Amino acid sequence: MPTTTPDIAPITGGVELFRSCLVSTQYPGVEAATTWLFEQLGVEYVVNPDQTCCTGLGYYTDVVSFPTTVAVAARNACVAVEAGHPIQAYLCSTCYAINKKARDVLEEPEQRRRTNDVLKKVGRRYDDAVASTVQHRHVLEILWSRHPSIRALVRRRLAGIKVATHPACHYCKVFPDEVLGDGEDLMLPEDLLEPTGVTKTGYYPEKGTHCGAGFRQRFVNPAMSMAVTREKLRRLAEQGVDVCVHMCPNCHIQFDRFHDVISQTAGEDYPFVHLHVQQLLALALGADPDTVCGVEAHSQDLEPLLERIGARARTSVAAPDGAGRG
Amino acid sequence: MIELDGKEDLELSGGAVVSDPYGAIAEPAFQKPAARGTPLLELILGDPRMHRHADGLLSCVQCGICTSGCPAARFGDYSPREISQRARDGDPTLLEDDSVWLCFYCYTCQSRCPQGNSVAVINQIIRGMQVESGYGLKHVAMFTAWTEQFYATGLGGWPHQLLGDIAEVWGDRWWHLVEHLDELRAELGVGSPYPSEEALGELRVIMDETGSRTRLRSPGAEALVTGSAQAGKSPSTER
Repeated sequence: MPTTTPDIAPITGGVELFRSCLVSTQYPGVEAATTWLFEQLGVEYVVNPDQTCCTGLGYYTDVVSFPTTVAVAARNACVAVEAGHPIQAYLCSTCYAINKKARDVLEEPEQRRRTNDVLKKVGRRYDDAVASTVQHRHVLEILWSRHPSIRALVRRRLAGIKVATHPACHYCKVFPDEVLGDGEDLMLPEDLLEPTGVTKTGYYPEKGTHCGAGFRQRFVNPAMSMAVTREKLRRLAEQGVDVCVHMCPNCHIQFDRFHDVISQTAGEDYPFVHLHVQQLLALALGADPDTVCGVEAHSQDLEPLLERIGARARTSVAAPDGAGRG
Repeated sequence: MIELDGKEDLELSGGAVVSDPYGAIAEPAFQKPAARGTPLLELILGDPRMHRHADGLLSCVQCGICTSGCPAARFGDYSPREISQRARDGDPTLLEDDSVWLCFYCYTCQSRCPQGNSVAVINQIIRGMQVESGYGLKHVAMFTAWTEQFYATGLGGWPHQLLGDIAEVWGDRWWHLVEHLDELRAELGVGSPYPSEEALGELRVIMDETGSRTRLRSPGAEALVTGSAQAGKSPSTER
């Protein structure tokens, strides 16, 4: 299957890896795998301790007001520009979308004035210089801009591993015109992995269906939330995939942590696992599953896959609980 | 009715004649100019989040593409098409409507709408109005823990008090992570997840200036939130 993701020039000029609250607290290996890939691919970056969380989970559970979210986004943009690393690179699709939404709103003079009235209290100002300098990029876009270098770095071929994409809604649907590729059939994750020898799935029924998390819905309406997740799991199982790859930690939680729960409740077998794109790509480039990819944080048993791709010594007898280090 | 230039009469089979059959086009309700001036519609259209989508709401033709792709419509009692219609009508009952709380905020409605409307954004606006009026506080009471955690630490995430039953379902591997997260982070060489003290100080000023905490403490909210956090205790118990 040929790649369809549009080529872009290498994204350079100072990348700030925008820390994500859900990556930090649920899958820190996603951050470590990303920085490991940045180093392999020569992406100059910083992690900026003056950056705060985007407020996304608070905003989308309706406890944080929009003016708060915009002011926090404007402050984070000021901080990134001040540090000379104005390309905010997002691990989480909600950080990505909410900061872009703030960017849009801050183009309106009245909204910018109101936001700057708040920022004045912390000695900052979102002005034209900041607005024209800051950039908002998903981490996968940064990696894609270096994709010609990937093939030569592959250490573990993923031949025979069938991969499907779960396109993150907040990457694909909030700003569809800015998606790298087709938001209804996103190929960016699979195209990034192509040099590793994976078998790509491409389009499949329900590809665009949501993960089911829905911020509040996972907690307040679990039956509805699980029903959506189950639909996707069934469709992925029909495709015979080995790995479903993710680009958003909230989707990743929903699938990794509920996969076995739904399988047992529904009495259905979904014989595949979930990984972030960066984790699978890093594994293919030779990264350690524990000290780089942090597989210990996952709820699913990843050991059989790790053995299959040569990231673990093969054992003749599976560990009793199959849980490996976890 | 829109008047068109006169057309010739149409003779139907059987000899009946319809005079000027194409001379006018009826306007169904949804084609009427939206009732600008209805306060709720004005508030929605005036919200900066809607500026990209204001024309889309006003030109909604009720095609239902939003509902056809909506996970909440598929598995819950919710219709984005209906929300769009009621928003366009400025229907004040939206301010006490519980179905808007079923939206997943997945934006499928927005990305597929041929007119550029966004029911996901309308729901954000309506829910915000419900919270600020006090009606919607029952829907957000459990999430106030998020605001408190964020104000205290500068880190969002899902506060553990939200996880409750879910943590039971997630089981031992999840508890293992909770107990060993700091060790795992150290092994991975990722730095502190928290912002610097300076950044946290600035964040608190921003939250205070934009009313983040008082927003959830309107009259009645304190009792509701406290009552939820301390189920079984008197709602008047101090936080």
